[in-house]
Amino acid sequence: MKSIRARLSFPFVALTLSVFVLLWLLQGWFLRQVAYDFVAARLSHESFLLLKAVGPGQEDAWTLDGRYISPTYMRPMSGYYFQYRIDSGPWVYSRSLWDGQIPSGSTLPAGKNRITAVMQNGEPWLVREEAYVKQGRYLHIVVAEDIAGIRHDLARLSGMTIALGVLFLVLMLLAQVMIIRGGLASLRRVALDIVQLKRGEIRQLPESSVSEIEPLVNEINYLVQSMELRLQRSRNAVGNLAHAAKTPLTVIDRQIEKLADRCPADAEALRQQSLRLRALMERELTRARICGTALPGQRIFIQEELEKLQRTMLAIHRDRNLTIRTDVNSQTFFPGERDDLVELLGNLMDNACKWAVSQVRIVGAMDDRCLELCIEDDGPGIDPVKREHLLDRGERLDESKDGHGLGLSIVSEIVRQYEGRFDLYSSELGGLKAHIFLPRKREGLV
Amino acid sequence: MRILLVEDDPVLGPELKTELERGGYAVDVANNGIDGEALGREAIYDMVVLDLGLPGRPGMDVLTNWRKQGNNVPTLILTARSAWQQRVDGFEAGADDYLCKPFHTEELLARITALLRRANRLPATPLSVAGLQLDEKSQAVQVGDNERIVLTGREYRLLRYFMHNPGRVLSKLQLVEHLYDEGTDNDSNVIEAYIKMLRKKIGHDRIATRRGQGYVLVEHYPDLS
Repeated sequence: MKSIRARLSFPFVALTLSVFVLLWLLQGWFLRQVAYDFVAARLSHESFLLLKAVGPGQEDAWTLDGRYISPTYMRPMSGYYFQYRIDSGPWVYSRSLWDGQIPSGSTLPAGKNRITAVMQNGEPWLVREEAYVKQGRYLHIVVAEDIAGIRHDLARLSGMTIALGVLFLVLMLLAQVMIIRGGLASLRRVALDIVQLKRGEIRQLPESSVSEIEPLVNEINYLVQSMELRLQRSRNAVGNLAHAAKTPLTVIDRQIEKLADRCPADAEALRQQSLRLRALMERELTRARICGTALPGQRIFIQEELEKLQRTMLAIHRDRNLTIRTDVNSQTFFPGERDDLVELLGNLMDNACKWAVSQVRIVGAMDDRCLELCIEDDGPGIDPVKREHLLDRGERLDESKDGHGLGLSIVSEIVRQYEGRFDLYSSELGGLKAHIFLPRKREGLV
Repeated sequence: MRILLVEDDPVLGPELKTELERGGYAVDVANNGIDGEALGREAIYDMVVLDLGLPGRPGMDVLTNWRKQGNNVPTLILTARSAWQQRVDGFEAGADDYLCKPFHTEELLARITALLRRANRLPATPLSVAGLQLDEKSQAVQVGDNERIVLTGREYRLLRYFMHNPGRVLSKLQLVEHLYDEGTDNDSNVIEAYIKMLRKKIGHDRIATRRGQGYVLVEHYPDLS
């Protein structure tokens, strides 16, 4: 998986690092150059002094006039050395050289100079050779300086630069991580909003003020809206179809009743087909209505719906003097479509009311993971073997009391859509106990 | 008893009207929501059979408007929409009963009978007031322990309306309004004639005349037998 943060960080670090290394190399080279130029200039000066100091003495032999030269050349191994020769005579060495000599190249044409860096006795020396002609004689002067100290200083400076650079780089990285994190915060907020949307706590993503995020949020909201619209439209279409088909079917049924007086056998055959058509239509239309949690952002509080259903049930069964008791927390909600919940509860409660002697009980409970609903009645109940049949095929046990068949198969269908469980038990009240178990969160939805 | 039937289907509407009339009801049909709502506002209907998918104005809006205006005419919703959400919405909007299409006429008639009983706070079946027992299936009446007397359609309608309103003074106009639909010539003199015939069958003193006011079914009739 690619990370935006990594993709932003890596090139940034690489670029910063290479710029830093380049600067470091340039700076090291430049400083060394400056230092060597400085030493070379001083050596040139020393060489001039030597030129001045070397000259014909009293006995016509050329000697070195000690007044002109610095005492450091007298101290052995002082780090400052010279040697010279006149014409092609022997080399005259400074005392500081002790037994050694400065490695010197071939002869140099007069008026020329040569600067070299050599390693001598494990120390770096900078050597400057100059060739002069003084009073008609060729003079080759070699001056050297031990530059270990300068080298050492330069190395320390370079080390310090590296240390500072690393510190600077770390600070930059930290700052960069924080900046990127800040920049990506709105993206993370959208991710959290989407989680909320998925859980059903909100129905739309809140608008984003970040121009890069805004199109994303808008597109998601548009998608959610169009899903909602499509769902509504298909439901309306189904409702319209039901309405359009059922009214003619009602008329056909009445014609069949009229026909029954004259031609009972034909009427019966037609009646059978009409009944089949009715059952088929009813089942398919109801199934089409069930949509599962197709839409994110739903949170239907069960208590409110239950109160309405309770009033409806009492109105439908008002001659029966039933007591419907409910025990559902006001915060308990159904994680899906209102129509599905009402269809689910409506069928189960209607069945319970039809069979109950005097009371129906509805208990609902919810924890973090699931929703549990129990609908019980104190009616005759159903034999365990027949209960299995009911759940398997939506078979109708009692044709005279409409329900318990198709109703339960619709309930099964809804529960299946929500990936829940639907069981029938015997109730403590004496009748049937319908037990519904629905998971609250379904993965893979948004 | 006069029923307002709001149904837009050109076949089902008239057919239902015929069947309801056979059941002894005066029926007016409105084939759209706007007319239906206007008709329902007149206090001449004992109940309404209301379809939901109507042209002009949805049935649910019609019902909601009536209830908002304090019109509590008993209403039975007759619709193809069978989802529980729609039933709940119907009852929440103030419907008194809900019947899904397709349905059988007997079912509709039974629901209408039950609803009218309930609206008049009468016990379920059979309709029995002041020693009179009305058999709604055969349209006959039993007076005390005597034999059953078969009634004509008009007499049956008249008696049933009296029995739904025992002890209440009913004017001629009121009787005309509740026994005839708008297509019938409603001459109030006809009422007098029917009352005379009804009195002949169930006993003259059972229906008292209040001069200038109307007629009343005597609720606590002394046991004559």
